[in-house]
This record gives sequence, C-alpha cells and structure tokens, in this order.
Amino acid sequence: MAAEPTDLELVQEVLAGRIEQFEILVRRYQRLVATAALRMGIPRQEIEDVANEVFYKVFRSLHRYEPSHALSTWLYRITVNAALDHKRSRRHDAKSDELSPALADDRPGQEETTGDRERAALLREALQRLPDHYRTPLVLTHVEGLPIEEVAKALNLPEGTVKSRLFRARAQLKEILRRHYPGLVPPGLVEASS
Amino acid sequence: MKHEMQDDRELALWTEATLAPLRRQMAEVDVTGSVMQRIAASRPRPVASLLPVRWQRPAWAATLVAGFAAFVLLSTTAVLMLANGDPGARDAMTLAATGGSLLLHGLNATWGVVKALAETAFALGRGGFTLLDAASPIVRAAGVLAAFCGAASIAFSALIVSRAQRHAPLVSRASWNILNGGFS
Repeated sequence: MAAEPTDLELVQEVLAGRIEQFEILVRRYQRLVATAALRMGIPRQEIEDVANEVFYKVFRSLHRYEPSHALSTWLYRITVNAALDHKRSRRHDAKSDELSPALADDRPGQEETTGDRERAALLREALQRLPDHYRTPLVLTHVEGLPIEEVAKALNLPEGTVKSRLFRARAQLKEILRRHYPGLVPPGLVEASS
Repeated sequence: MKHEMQDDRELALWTEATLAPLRRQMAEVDVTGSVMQRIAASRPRPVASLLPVRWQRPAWAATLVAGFAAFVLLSTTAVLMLANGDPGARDAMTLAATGGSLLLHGLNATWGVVKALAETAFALGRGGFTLLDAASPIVRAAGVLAAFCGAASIAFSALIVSRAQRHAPLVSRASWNILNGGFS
C-alpha cells in the first residue's frame, strides 16, 4: 500500500501545476477548519461558507506557505482571519445581529449531549462579549489546545504578547461569567476562581 | 511574583475547565467539490485554436521553417551588401564604429574620474588617521573625564532619590491603587 503523501509533498505538487492534488489537502483539513470556525463563534449554517473561503484563500496564497511552520498552524491563521472577517461583515447586517450565535446554532455535533450543547451555546455567547484580540488567543489555547508558540505563529504575534492577552482574556471571561452567567462556572472551582 | 504566577496558573486551569464543553464541539462539512469548482472557475480557460488538432503540429513546424528561412535570407542579404561595398551598408558600419569608439572613450573617462575620487578619499582618510593618532592623549583624557562625570552624575542622582524617599509621606497600597485607578 502506498504511503499517504505528506502535506509538504502535496503543496509542492499543487504549486507544480497538479491542482487536483489540492483536493486531498481539503479532505484532510476540512474538519479542522470547520471545527475551528465553529469554536470561533461562526454559526453552523455559515461554517460551509467560511470553510470554502478559507480553502480558496489557501489555494491562492499557497506559494507564500513557509514549510518551517506546520500547515495546520497556517490554516488556523487563515481560519481565524476568515472568521473575524465573516463576523465583521455580518455585523453590517441588522438581521444577523439580532440572531445570537446560541440561537442560530441549534443542531448538535455528534459528540455532544443536550447539557453540553446548552452550556456550549451560552459559553459562545459569553465569549462574544470579549474583544476579538482577547477571544482569539483564548479559543486557540483553551479550546483548540494549541501551545503558546503555535498560537503566536498563527496570530503572527510575539509569545509575550500572546501570554499577556491570555491573562487579560481569562480575567475578563471570569468577570463576564460571574456577572452574567454564574451557572456556567464549574462547581468546585468557584473558590479558586473568586 | 510567585503568587502572581500561581494565580495565573489557577486562572488557566479554571478557564480550561470552564471551556471544556466547547472542546467537545465538532463540525463536519464537505467543501471539497465546491472549493475545487471555485478554483477551476477562477483559472484562465485555454484559448480555442483556429485549426483542427491534426493540423496544429504541421502549423508549428511550418512557422519554424518560415522563421528560419527569413533569418537566412536577411543574413545573406546583409553579408552580400557588405561584401559588394554597398554605400548604405558602409554608412551603417561607420556609424557602428563611431558608436563603439564613443563608448570606449566614455568608459575611459568614467574610470579616470572614479580613480581620482578614490585617490582623494584615500589621502583624506590617511590625513584623518594621522590627526587622530597625534591627538590620542587628548581623546583618552576626554574619555576619562566623561566617565568621571558619568559616575558623579549617578552618585548625585542616588543621593537625591534617597533623600526624596526619606522625606516622602507614607501611602498605603490601597490608597495608591485608588489614586492610580488600579484594583483595590
């Protein structure tokens, strides 16, 4: 059985003109991109548009990909920017503004229970109250599980800046949950967090 | 400092536990077809050929042969004109020779200017170095004086700061925070 081509091999083949190889990259990473977009607060029914936009941008700027970074890190960067652009464009639409991400997102993922879904919807709502520059590193670190170095690369920021933004983002999230969503604070951690 | 780091770690753990439901959320999409279609639509379409496919190769070959024949004809004409002493060809040769001669003289003149400038710069540099060498004791003395002045300035500043601290009114941390708009 032939070994799966690596990301770098696929990128090189696409750049050499074998565009059909890009389909393998899309198949390989579409779940990661869609999940990251969902966790960045994009409603489920709009994730397909964002994912489409992300992969089209990836294809158009493939010659700028630096092999020293993992392809997934680069994809995170493009997904984060596309999600922020998408949300900015939605803000211009008054109707979309009335529809909160929690209400718009009523279809559960495969691994979610009803309780989880409700909590996740409220958490996404709470996260929307954070400014973009705090929410993005917070989601990449604590939801996507990326290490600080990867977050710094994905956001094109120094590690020190990411750390200080994370610290402020956590403090602000704690304050938002304490004031507006007290039921979301995990039991047993109330003392540690207060 | 240690306490702050511990607080940060606790806050990180708290955030990790709080955001756990979001980590269990997954999204499945299949955008392969739409992405590949979009890419295909954005690429320039090949221009349709005027000739049928079976005539395309002979057409290429004929174009190459015609181009080579034109080149041979022109070269032969030029050689024959030169060989037979054609006045037009002679004028062209004279013009080319004049251009070449002008280029040569221009290059020579430029080289001369560059050489003269380099020699002047070298002489100036040497003069400067000699001057610096002669004045080195003065430079050293100025350096020592500057170092002494620096040390005196630091000592004076330390004296001023220690006096100011001794005479400053006592302020509690809480009131400092209130005055500076920080957390109480």
